[in-house]
Amino acid sequence: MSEKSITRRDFLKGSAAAVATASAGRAMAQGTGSPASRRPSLVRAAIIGPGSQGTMLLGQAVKIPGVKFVAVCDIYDPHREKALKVAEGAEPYTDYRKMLERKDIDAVVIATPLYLHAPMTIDALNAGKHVFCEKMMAYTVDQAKAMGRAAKSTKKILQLGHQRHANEGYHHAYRMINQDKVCGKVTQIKAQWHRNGSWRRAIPDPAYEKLLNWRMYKEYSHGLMAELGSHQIDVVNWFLNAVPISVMAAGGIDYWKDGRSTYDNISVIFEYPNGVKCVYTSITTNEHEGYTEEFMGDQGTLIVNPDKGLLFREPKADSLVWAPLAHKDASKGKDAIILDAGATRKDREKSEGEAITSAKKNDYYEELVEFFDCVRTGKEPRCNPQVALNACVPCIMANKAAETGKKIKLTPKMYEI
Amino acid sequence: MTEGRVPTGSEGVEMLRYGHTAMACRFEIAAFGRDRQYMVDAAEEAFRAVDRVEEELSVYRAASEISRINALAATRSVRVSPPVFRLIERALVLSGLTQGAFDITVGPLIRLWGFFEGRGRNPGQEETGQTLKLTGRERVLLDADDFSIRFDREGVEINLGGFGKGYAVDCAAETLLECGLREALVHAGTSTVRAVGAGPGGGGWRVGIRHPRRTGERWGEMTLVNESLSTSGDYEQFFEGGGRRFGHVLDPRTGWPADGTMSASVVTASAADSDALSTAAMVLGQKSFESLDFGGLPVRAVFITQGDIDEREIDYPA
Repeated sequence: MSEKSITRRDFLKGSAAAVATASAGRAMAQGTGSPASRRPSLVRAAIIGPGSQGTMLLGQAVKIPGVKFVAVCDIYDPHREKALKVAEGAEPYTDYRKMLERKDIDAVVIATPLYLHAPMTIDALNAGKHVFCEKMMAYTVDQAKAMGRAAKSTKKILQLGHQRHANEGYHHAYRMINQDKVCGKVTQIKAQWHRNGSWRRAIPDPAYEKLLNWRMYKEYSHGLMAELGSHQIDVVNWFLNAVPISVMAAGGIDYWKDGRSTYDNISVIFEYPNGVKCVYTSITTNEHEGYTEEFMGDQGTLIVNPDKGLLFREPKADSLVWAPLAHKDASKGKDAIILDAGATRKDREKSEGEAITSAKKNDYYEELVEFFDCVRTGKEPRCNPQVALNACVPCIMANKAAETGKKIKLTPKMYEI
Repeated sequence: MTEGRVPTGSEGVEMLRYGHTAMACRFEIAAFGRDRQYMVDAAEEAFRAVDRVEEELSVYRAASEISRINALAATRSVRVSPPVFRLIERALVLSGLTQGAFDITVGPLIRLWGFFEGRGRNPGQEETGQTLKLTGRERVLLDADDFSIRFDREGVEINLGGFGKGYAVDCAAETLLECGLREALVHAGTSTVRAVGAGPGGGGWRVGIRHPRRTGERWGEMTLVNESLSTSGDYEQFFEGGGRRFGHVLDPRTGWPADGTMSASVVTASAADSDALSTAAMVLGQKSFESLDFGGLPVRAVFITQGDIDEREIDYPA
């Protein structure tokens, strides 16, 4: 079987299921489903690693009807204490294994440093818990595959935290590129996450430096590619219905000489099937470009991020029938169609029909609503182990390519759970 | 707003001033320490906390918890996160302590008077009376067992306004403390400031109270040690009609603009509380405010009324 057929099949299957589960999840979340769905059965949950990201997730999860957080686990006292204010009444733990022994816990949210994702997720699955694990999936490719296999063998839900799958704007952009073909044939992608700052947490006690600034150290994290880039490679994979077949990269610790061992900048070229390239950069010294994914085709360019999408048609492209109905914005000296206007009149009517509850939602809230919905129904989450592995492999290999200075071929076997 | 000098005898200590725009105003942190980059990292962490508060509390963010409550709570109970629930609960407690002079349900009245649009109008007694039925802390029903909130009728809304901004200042200050900064000042716009520590030199942070009629001038100064100061004034937004000046601070009990006090400044421990209490002080005036029972909460207040200002010096904006 060719690389292309494996990846296309896997992805098309994944995305078709995604659209269906998305609607069901939303109906439940908004209380617009059947009377039974308005009173979902109680799911008892726990969190491991409520640091900055974990506490934010916890803050969203505690709002979900039918979910009760009964335990929080962290070895760092201030984080655990803060989490107990968000999940009032939960029991505190410092040993996650002890917490997992509790029979009344149905689901666990894991937001620990990257290198702990796999052992904790596998332990939780084996303890009979459903797991929502933050991105990136795992520290090594083998670990990520083991997580996928553990989910399958235990028949438990494993959802990973690439929350763009919970953003309706991205689904809209996917349809515009893949069904409406607003960009024509997509040949090139440019994506970046540019910040201007140390990306370092201010830690008062140096004893906790590596525990809390784990993103800075190679033995715990893959730095920018894992923590930022994996979100965007996930989107590129999703939109292209493909995975990268090779990667080359250059990176360095060139500005922040503060003892870190993960790169403070990296520039990567991912090669996809049929000659499509994705140029990806992540830097920490300039935030002018922020974070976007830009899909360039022979008919147009679509620029997306979680808040907004802009479509620029090529001068030679025919005008779109629905373009006069769309909202427009001047950007980069050109007229852009704002994505949220809807590709069709039908889309616009639908969004108006959803009235107030269709107002902009929080992606973290929505991904967790989906997770707990999957826990109840047994449905496959959109960001399932295969989708997450497909983002994990290229990001780990991008760092390896930068370290070795070599172009690395990414084989279909690497993406097989 | 404050003295920005590094005290003598503090070699290696420098001052950082770091700004961030959020909640429609400029937040600023002034901190003293020996490691500038560390202070920058801590300040950025504090501003991330402010941004998270804005995401949860702003009525201008469609996905915020407050927007969700306002959209749905008249028809069903809305479950919110415990921290937001506790904040709303605190706002209702402060409303009770101030006998309704501070009220997070005052939004429909502010809209009626045109202050949301930035141009005032006098709606008259009848319309005001009708709108008063939509306000008051009794309109908000809390269920602490489920952390859910419900309104008792259609048309009710909550807006944490300055109270939310004060809470954001608290969150920023607490983040700085968690990061180990012991001497810092956080302010949102110029209406609320929280002092961490006793300031450079240890004698307290000297914070100015603006002159209610002279832009850019100080009327006085207060010294803060681990305290917050909020000032509410009739100069922030107002309109004039029928020979009367109507300030944007409405008395939630009558539905009419508060009258008689030019500015009220309140000092207490938390910035959320000082923000709420300065609004209440502005509404109640000195005598009524001083007669309140704050249930042991240490509160200091400074009022500026017409009698305190030499009318010949008043510099009304054009």
